[in-house]
Amino acid sequence: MSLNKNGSFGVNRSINIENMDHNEHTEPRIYELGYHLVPTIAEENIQAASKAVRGMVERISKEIIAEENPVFIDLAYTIVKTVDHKNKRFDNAYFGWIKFEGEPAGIAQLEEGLKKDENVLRYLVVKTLREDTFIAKTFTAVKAKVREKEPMAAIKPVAAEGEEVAAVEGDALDKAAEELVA
Amino acid sequence: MKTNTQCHFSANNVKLIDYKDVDILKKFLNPHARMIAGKRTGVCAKHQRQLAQAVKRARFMGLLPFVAK
Repeated sequence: MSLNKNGSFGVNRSINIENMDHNEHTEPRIYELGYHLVPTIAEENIQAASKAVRGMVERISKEIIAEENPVFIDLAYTIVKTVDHKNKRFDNAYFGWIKFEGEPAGIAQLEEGLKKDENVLRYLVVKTLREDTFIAKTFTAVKAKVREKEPMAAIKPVAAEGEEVAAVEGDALDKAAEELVA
Repeated sequence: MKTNTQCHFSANNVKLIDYKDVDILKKFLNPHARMIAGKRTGVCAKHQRQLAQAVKRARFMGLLPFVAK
């Protein structure tokens, strides 16, 4: 930061604040909106409530990339929401998410809408990637590696094609084990 | 976990750790729901930062607890 002619930071700073409102980056980006719907909604109305959220996203987004409909989940802790000046406590909620492409200015608009929606218990908008970021499936590879380290369990099925072979190998292993013990 | 020398996420070519992947995030938390140091789990610095971000997001969304007994 440098001093201007007047020897103050004031002028520069005010300009920065004005520019800060989403003008720095205006290109479309990939976002993901995760949201909780309050559990007090009747099951037949959940679709309508999630459609309302989807509608808000569609208004500001060019393209919806992926989404998951709200599912009933137990929350890890009690979430408190103030409704009509009263604190309401929720231990479970319907959790859904939508991945979409949008511009930064639209996100502010979307958040405004979500704040006003009484059915939305909590929401989170994050920047993400176009590809699927779920890694649960690929992680089986790691589990397989761990299994390789359990020697007997991994080797036996391979040798078990002929019973005799397996038996002989079993005997050999027993002998080897006895020798080691002795 | 300690025996694996390479970072779990690098080994699986993970580009971004998703906060919704609660099952995976839980592997990197202790019973008190606090994060385990990257030094113990072997997660590289880059992914440890992403992991921290994901855990914090999951906590905010009530998918993971802030504290557990």
